[in-house]
Amino acid sequence: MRPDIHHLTGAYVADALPPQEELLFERHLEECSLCAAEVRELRETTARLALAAAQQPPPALRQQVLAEIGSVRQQPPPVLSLPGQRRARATWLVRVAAVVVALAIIAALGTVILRQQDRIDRLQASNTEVTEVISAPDAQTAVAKTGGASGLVVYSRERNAAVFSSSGLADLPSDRIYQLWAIGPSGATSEGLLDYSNGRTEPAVAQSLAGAQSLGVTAEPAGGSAAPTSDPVLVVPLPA
Amino acid sequence: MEDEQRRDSHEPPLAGARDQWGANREVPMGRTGRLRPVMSGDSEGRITADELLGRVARGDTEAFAQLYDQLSGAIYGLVRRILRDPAQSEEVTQEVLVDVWRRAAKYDADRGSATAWIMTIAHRRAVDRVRWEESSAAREERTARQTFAAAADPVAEEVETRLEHEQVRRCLGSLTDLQRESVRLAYYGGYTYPQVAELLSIPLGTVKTRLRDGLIRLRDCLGVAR
Repeated sequence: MRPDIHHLTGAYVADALPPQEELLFERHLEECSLCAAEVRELRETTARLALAAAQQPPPALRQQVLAEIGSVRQQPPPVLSLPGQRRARATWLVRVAAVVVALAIIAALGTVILRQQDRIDRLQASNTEVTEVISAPDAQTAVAKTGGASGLVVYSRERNAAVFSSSGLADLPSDRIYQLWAIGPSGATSEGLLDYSNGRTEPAVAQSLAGAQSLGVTAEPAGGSAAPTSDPVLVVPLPA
Repeated sequence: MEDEQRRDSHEPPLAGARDQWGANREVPMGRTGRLRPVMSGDSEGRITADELLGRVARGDTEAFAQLYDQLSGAIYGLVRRILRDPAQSEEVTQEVLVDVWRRAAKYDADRGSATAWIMTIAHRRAVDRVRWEESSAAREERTARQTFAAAADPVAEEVETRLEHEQVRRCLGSLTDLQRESVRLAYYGGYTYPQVAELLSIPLGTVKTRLRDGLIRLRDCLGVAR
């Protein structure tokens, strides 16, 4: 890691990092407990700035909000993360659990759409791959929004690879999963399944992008599909 | 129901009791039993945001209404500071609050106070909205820099005159000019640090450092609980 990355805590808590650097810093945060502790303290500090700026919202808002939550299902608690656990570890546990669940579902269905070993290898390799792509000298960024979801693509033409992450996607029923596709004039090619939690998908690396014009996400039956079975819920064009 | 409540009120107060009288009971305990971070908002004997959020996670709409009353002003004020437009700010404030309801069970007290968690969500949402609108605008015209410059002064001024919180204002005043301007433009202005660097005509590395040491100085001045 670059030596000055620790100094990004301030810009990070102020949401002032451009997308690429934010991704890099969040990767770093998972390994740097000192940075995580500083981020925690600085977030308490910026919260004070927010409290100091308080202003009465329009009175009608209260009823609107209270009415809306009546029709919004709450997300379940993350049962795998034990109190006091470091985030990186929790994330890893969640990933392992996701693999176990995915494998169980695939086995139950009797159809092996993604090769199991591939999936595990990819999870282990993805940390370095993500970092390699987003720090490539020719990396370019694109963001796009579909409905309430927004996607971020960091694309390196030289490496013929892109990192995809998203936020704002809706929770899926347990028998469905988000799948990433490279979309071009000749159709959609699977880039694999996305790890979804907390409204976000983990950064994933898409490869072999020759001819692809955009990356898209669809909700597919658990285990994934060979070809998309529904319209994409989010599409991000690759930067030109 | 009423009988139950009355019976309940004759029992000795229990720490962490969760019925609807819990609020009244916990006041003295909260004051004498344990110290809370300054920002938890219990100076008037209200239930802290942390406790409310715990109840919200279990689907308690009454607790959510109380949380709304405690924090909707800060959420709206912050969003308004960043977006300026009242209608958009109202929309984003609603999104933030519904998000808090939806994700309450994901809140992890080991990683900070409920207030900080909620304000992080609010700031992020407001900034996402700004970036989204600017990304389409910036592609069309390359005059973004001028736009930023034009918007900068009123933002700074507005913040200064409206800061209600005396302590925060005093602490902001203890920063160097560059620290203060960097923090203001990034946090209240919703600018990225390269944009802040342009606005202040200083190198990128300087902005990163000033944002960090400025916020650290603020932290120490405000006595934020570690």
